[in-house]
Amino acid sequence: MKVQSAMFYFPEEVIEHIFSFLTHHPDRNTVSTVCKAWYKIERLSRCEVFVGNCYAIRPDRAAARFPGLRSLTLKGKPHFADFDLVPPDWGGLAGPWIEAMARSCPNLEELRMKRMVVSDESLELLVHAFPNFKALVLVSCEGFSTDGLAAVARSCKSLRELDLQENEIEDRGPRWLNSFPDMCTSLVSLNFACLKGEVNLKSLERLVCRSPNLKCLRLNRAVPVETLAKIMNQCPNLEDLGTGSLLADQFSEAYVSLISALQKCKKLRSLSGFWDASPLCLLAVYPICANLTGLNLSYAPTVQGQDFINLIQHCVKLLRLWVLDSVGDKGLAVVASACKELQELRVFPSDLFAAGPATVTEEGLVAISTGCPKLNSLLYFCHSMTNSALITVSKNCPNFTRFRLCILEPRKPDPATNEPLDEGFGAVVKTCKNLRRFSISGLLTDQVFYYIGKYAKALEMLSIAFAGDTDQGMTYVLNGCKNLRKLEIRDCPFGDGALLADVTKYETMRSLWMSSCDISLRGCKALATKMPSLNVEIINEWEAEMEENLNNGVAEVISNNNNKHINNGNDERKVEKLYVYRTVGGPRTDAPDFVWTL
Amino acid sequence: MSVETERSSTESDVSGLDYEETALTLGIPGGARATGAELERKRGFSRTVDLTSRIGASEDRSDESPDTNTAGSAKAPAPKARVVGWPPVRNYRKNALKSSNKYVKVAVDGAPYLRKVDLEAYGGYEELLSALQEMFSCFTIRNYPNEERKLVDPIHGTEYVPTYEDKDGDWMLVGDVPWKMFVDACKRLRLMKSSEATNLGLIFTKSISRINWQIHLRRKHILGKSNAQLLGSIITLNHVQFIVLSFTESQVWLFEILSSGWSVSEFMLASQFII
Repeated sequence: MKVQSAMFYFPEEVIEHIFSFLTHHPDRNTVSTVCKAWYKIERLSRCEVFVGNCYAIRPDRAAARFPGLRSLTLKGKPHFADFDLVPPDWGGLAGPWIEAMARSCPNLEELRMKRMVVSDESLELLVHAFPNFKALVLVSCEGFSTDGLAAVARSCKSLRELDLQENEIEDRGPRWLNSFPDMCTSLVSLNFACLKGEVNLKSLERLVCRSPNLKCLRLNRAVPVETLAKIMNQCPNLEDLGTGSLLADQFSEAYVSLISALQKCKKLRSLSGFWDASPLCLLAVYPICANLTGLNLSYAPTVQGQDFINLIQHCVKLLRLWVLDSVGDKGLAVVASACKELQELRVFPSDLFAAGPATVTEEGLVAISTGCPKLNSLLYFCHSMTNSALITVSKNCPNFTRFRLCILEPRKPDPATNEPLDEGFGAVVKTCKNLRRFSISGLLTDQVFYYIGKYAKALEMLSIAFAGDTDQGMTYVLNGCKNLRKLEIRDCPFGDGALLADVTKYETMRSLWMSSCDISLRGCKALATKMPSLNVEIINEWEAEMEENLNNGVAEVISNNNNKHINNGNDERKVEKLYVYRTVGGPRTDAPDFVWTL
Repeated sequence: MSVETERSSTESDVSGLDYEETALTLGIPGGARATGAELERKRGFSRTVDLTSRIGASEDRSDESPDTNTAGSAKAPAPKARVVGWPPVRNYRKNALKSSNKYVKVAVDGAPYLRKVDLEAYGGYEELLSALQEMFSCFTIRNYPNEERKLVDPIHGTEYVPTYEDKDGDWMLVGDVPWKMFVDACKRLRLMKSSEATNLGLIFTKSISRINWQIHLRRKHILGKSNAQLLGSIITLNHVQFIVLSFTESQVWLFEILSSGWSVSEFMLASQFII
């Protein structure tokens, strides 16, 4: 009270200075809601903005609110778009955002986007509208080509970071690397590992030569060992390296120069790539393993068995490890004995349909948990899991913040007891008080959701598939998880009752995704009516075929097409895909025909 | 690349020529153009014949597809043994890991056994056809910027048209769709004898008059085709450069550009397709 009134006498500059210590964006969001004065000071001084759902606010409004914006992070499509559950052309367009920023925020320096559609034209606009542009990070994006990259390379005078992770980039040739300016570049980080096509190796070598600040370099598969060796000789200060193709003949000149080049890189802490890695090339890597903190072998199916064991046993300081399940329980046991500092482990499936013999099982996970008590982040694909294993794992590693377990066969029970895995996952939420992200699989009843609702108080994101028995399951989660931000559900028997159990909950969350569940149009309409601050979007794919026919000029264009279908009285129809999110931007203006906003 | 050759030699099928496998079901090239929903349309044989007779009327193939479809022709409902989007692995990762495994059988009409190639080992159509040339070393490949691609056996003068079977079971002409889409859709390859391909109306070209000729140049066999506007221009056939001097229905005169000077070669037109 007294303190509060005292604050009013603080000049703005002081408050602004205080705010400059707040970098965590939720904190900044909070202070901006205190009073109008603080809102104004905060918004004018804000440099970094994170927009978790690009449709939660209109780009113009965001740009107008934060004119001093220097760094923008945007996420577009829902997470399940990664798994083909969202039709193409759904949206998530970067164009309107870049245009809005170009109009209002000329100081933009960094743009990070995930699951968005970016066109070459947008990239051109980006580099011409922002003279200080320094960093472009694109993760799981699409819609652009190497021509767009050429524009970025050519026109960004002070480009520091070009980071392309797992994007779908149309390859129009290797010329883009030539487009970097001829004089010294300011590049610190360059990642083009996801480019599938050829690369002009001479251009690459010359580029590296004139980029003295390079710390992180991730090459694509087209770069051979010879070039890698030459590059590494040029930048001994490299900290993060993604190799190209690690295929080398025995004792070839390329191989020998690779060995000596690697020895020189004393600062190397993170390695990835390892495309087509031959055992011989792995030998070359041993000398630097002892200092590695990050290792990504998840694109290297050739690194398995004894090769893997020989490599990993040197990596005693490893914090982050991504592998394929072909390393087997045996490989994981070696990880457990060697990598005592391990914090993050991801085990990806090499055989997607569990058709072959089991590669990793619960044994591998238990071994890891026993040997690596600092583990806090897990992504584990396996053929089967038992309750007792999960209980053991959670006892050994109570520090999980991210726990994602995917049993390849849906609804698979505990093979030892034939029971659901409720108790196992329940143990995880009971012990891991800091759990923020959780993905569950296998045979699960409503009981697991009871546990989640009761114990997972810090949970922010929950992914559920092929689980649950009744509406009660989903209701437990909505009622219990106070910090829930994203809930994504597929193939569960949750219906309108669950959807409408606590409608105001969705306003506290970023988004809800439900596909192949038991909800009807009536339920979705009810939700839309009760909660006007939400966008309730339905995706029905038979609409996509209708749109096809329209494009082919076969069916007549029915102007009230959407209304006709929504309001033809049959509200009992099941809704295939539902995406609900809070927004201040109103219904999307760019929704395609197959997306109905209720 | 070296990995691919190592692997393919251990994996090549030595089996009898299986006619069942190479039995044709027809599809029209160009039908696999990407639409928003990436549907592939099936068309019957009669459609193919129709199109053949209409050749020349429409140069741009991409115009053909939409209005000849009817709402009734269903998209091929591939019976899914797998659940969509499960396991939850990003497409990028699926494709990257798949990349060491996209081996498809290659059948050549008349060859006693099939081979296998890893489509993911190649960056584009040119590389694939070069590899096929190496594999079936009796072929030479003609070297053009044109849309069509053919392999030719110079000894007997037979041309082979590369075709592939797509996910719907239709046989398509190689080269119409973007490379990546082709790699995804291709289940197997068949090098079909050109004569057979023409009869089935599988050869479509963009420009109205194109002349194929088979050229015997003294010691070498060079094959290729060109369009009629090439008089006076320099063309490259199989890494050899020529200037087109004159052109008739049955003969073409080319100057071979040798590093040491010029030489005049006379060529006999052995077969001719005007489409």
